[in-house]
Amino acid sequence: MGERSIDQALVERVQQGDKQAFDVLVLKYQNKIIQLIYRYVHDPDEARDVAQDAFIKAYKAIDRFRGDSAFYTWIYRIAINTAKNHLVASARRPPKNDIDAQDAEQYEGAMGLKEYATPERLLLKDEIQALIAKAIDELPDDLRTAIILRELEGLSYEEIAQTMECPIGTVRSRIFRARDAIDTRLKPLLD
Amino acid sequence: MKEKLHEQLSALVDDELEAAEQALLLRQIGADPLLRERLARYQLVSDALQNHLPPRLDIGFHDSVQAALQAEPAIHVASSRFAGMVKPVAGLAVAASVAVVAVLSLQSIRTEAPSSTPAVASAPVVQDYLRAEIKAPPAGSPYTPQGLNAYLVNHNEYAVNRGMLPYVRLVGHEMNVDGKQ
Repeated sequence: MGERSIDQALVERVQQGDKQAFDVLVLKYQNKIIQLIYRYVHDPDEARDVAQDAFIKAYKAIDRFRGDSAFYTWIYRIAINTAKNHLVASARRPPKNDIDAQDAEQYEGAMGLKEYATPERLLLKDEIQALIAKAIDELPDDLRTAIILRELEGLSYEEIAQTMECPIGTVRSRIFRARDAIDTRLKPLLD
Repeated sequence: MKEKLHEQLSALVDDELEAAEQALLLRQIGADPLLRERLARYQLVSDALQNHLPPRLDIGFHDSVQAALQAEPAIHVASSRFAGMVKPVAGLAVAASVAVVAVLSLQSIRTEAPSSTPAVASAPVVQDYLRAEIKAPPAGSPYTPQGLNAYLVNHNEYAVNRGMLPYVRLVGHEMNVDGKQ
C-alpha cells in the first residue's frame, strides 16, 4: 500500500475543490453504505434515499475531516446517524443492537432476498453473485487463487506474494487479470 | 497503456496503489467517465465477493449523488501542507497579542502614574489621608527603617533577577530630614 491511503488522497482533493474525487469515494463505498443503512430501514428504496443523504452530509462536512480516523469509519458513522435520524423522523425505533462501524465490515446480514418488480437499472444481488461465481470458476488457477486470497481471505498483496511465492507485481497483475475477466462477463448485464 | 491504467484501477480498489501512481490516476479518473464506470464495476466485483452488496442494486446511485451535489459549492480548505502549521501560528499570534496588550498597559500605567498623583492629592479626603501621621514603630519591632530597607532591597533584587526591571515599579520609602518616616 502507498505511504498515504488512497482515501486520504481523495479527501484532500475534495477539500481542494475537486468534486470528481468525491465521486470516486462514492463509487468505493456506495454498496457498503447502502447495505449498512438497509439493516436499519429494511426497505431498499428508503435505504437508497438515506444513503444519498448520508453522502451529501459527508460532502458538506468533509472540510472538517482531518484524517484522525479512516475515511470509511468516518462515513460509516455518518451513515448510521443518518439512518437513526431517519427512523426517529419517521417515528420508528432504531434497532436495539447498534451496528458498530468496525463490525459493519464483517457483518453478514441474514437478509432474505425478495423478488422485486425492478426497473431496468435495478439488479438483484443474487444475479450478480451467481455470475461472478461462475466467472471465477472458469479462471486459470493462478488468477483464481490470487483473487480468492485477496477478496475472500482479505490478504494484502505482500501476503499473497509470500503465499504464492511470486513477486508483488505478479500478484497485482494476476488480481487485475482476474477482475478484468469477471468484468468482461459482468459488463453486458450492467449495460 | 490502457491495460496499465486498468491495472492501477484494480490496485486502487484494493488500496494497494503506490503513492507515486495516485495523483496521475486520480486526475485521469476525474477526466474519463469510462474509467469511472470501470472502477465502479471492479468495486462491484469486490463488494459482491465480500458480501457487501445491498439486496437491490441501483447502478445509477452514484450518478444521483453527483447530481444532488451539483448544487453544492465546491469545498476549499487551506492546503493540508500548511494545515499542521495553523495551530502553532495561531498560538503564536495569541501570545504576541497578549504581550503587546501587556506592554501597552504597563506603559500607560507608568505614564499615567505621575499625572494621577496631583489629581488625587487635590482631593480633600485624600489630602487628609496623606497627612495622616505614621507613628514610629515601637522599640524592638522588626519594622524599623533599617529592616524595611533590607526588605525592599531584597524585593528589588528579586525583581531584577527575573528580568522584570522595565516593568516593575521600584518600591521605596522616604525618611524625613529629621529621620521620621
